[in-house]
Amino acid sequence: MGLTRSGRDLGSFQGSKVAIIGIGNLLLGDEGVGVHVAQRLAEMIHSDDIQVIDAGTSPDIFGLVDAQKVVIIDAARAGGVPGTIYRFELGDLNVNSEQPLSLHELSLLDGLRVLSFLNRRPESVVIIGIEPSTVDFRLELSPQVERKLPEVMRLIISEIGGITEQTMEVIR
Amino acid sequence: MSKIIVDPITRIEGHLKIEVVVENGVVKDAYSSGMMFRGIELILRNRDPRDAQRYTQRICGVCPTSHSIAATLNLDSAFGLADKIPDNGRIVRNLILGAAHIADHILHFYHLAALDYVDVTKVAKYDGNDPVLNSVKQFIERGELAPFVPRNEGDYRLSDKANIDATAHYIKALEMRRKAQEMLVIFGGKMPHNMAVVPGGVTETVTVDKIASFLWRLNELRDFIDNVYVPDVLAVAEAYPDYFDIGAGCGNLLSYGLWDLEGNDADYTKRNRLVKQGTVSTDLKVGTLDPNKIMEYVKHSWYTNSSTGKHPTQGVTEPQYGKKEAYSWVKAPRYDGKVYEVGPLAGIAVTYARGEPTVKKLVDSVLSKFKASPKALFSVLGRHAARALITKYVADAMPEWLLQLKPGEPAYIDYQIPDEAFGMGLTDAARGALGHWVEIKDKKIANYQCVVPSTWNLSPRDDQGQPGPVEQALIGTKIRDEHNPFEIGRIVRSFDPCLACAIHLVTPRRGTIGTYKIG
Repeated sequence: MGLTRSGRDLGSFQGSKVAIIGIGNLLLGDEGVGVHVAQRLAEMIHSDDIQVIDAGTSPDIFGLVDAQKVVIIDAARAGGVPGTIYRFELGDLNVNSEQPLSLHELSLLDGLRVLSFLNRRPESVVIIGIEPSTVDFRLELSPQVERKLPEVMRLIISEIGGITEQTMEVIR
Repeated sequence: MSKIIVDPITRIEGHLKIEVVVENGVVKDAYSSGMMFRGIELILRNRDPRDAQRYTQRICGVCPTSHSIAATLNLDSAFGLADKIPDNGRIVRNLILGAAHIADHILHFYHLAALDYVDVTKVAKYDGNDPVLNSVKQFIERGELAPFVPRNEGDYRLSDKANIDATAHYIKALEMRRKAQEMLVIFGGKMPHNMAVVPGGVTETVTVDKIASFLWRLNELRDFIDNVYVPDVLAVAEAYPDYFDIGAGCGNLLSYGLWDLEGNDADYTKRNRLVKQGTVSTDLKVGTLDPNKIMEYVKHSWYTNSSTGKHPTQGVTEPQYGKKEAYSWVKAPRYDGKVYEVGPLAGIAVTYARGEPTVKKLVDSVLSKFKASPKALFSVLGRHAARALITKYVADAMPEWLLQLKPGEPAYIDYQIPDEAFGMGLTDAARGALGHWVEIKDKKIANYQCVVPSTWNLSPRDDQGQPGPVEQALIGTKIRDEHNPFEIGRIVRSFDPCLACAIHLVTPRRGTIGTYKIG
């Protein structure tokens, strides 16, 4: 996961058709839901066409993304009951244009914008958000969020479906 | 009298906040507050000690690699392995940490700090054929300025050409940072959160192929550091020489050192490291590093007063939010009771003061260019220059490390987890001194404590009322325009703060209709 070596060819760090990126802090309960989902998907998906990235809280993860389609999974506080699943597109997000004090504040959106300078901007970016219940120091997800994970994974798979026949077979 | 609050809380919850009191155009007082990940010890308690390497990397999205090294040195020492790591293992760890620092320093200068000095909007005047600059130009013409948001209106001093060149370098730096991350992956397996650095050495084998593919990326990076990064920092310094006198801070620097050049001494404070261990003050007198002198104070932090003045091995975390006189979740670590700044400046200054010839030459050449004394290092520009020089210093050292690797020979030694033990792991993260401490009982973690760089730099006042390093760097600063206090951002960013180590929630725009709920 993340930037990984492809096979024996150390000279090439190939891009992929789809990148699934889990964002969040694993140490903060439901805040880490994106990482939990990415880790589970990584065990299921073995395809050169799909890159599953456990990005943790790394703000500069987009330097590593080379994909036509990006699906981001993250905790999202949007006011629903815990476990509510949302689907956003980029335009739905707040664009905050304060200059950050810390590298931690370089946002996902800054990263995507930077990719467009490099002409590497993905054709589509979808964000799957999950409303958290507990955000405090613990490794486990709350039951409300945990029981939604199969549904989240099904949604992601339908989101990336139709890429290639081979991909779909791998997921099945 | 007016109060200026720089509080980027809109982006990340529970974050670094700087409050500055200005009187007659001068900073009279400064308060740095933050939310800290003081829950890590609670998570690690009763777990397998080896979990510390995996979970402490998750503390921080910017410096997971440094945490993996500190945790592993800590476990090596607890497991009685500190002087038994095979050379291949020691060197591969150095290469992984070196790659991480190079990527990180380039990221910090171009993508965070440079925007304080470079006016990206001048790219609107670009009339050449470079596709990337033209793409930036189109963004600017459409009024889309993030992530280049100029906040320092009225104090941009570079020529149009220098601004345009620096913007091109900003984009180039993205590619170069990726090269450094690829180097990390060659030996680290994946990034972020490498899996290779483990107690006993590293899990990766050393092959000629890996050495070669590391080396050609390193050569490209060295070329960029020598011909772009270091010259850009010097060009900024030439245009903003007053920043050699601004943001001096507490005048005491502390370095744990990093990149082990030998592995035979189990005591990390004594072993030969590329960047040296110790303390140094404005008089350039060097002090020997003694970790027993580290204590954490909480009079002005939201923890019970009974937990104050403790060494990290005795560290207690008893939150008391709303405590009188407290204003931060960050504790105040002090060394020998005094305030110390950490970071690349500390590493460079200690190594310089110890007379290491390569660093001496690098620092002296910068100082002579600006006809400055070493005291000028204690400043906003001194921090940026030190960060660039440390990047060059390690990148120049790495080719020789690659040659010292022995393909086919072991990089790992097997071990048993002891029933009971204490451990200490000391290294410098890209932002400065990083210490991990562990106590093991019944082969499980009984206590785990981390004291991270920004705890030092962004600490609040201690029990004696001494302000922390960033607070001291701000106090006394002249503010030209209270409505546009660019001096504050420049000073704070020169420390490369990283406090947010935590929450990363997506906040959708209020009242959005483009969103739909599922389930």
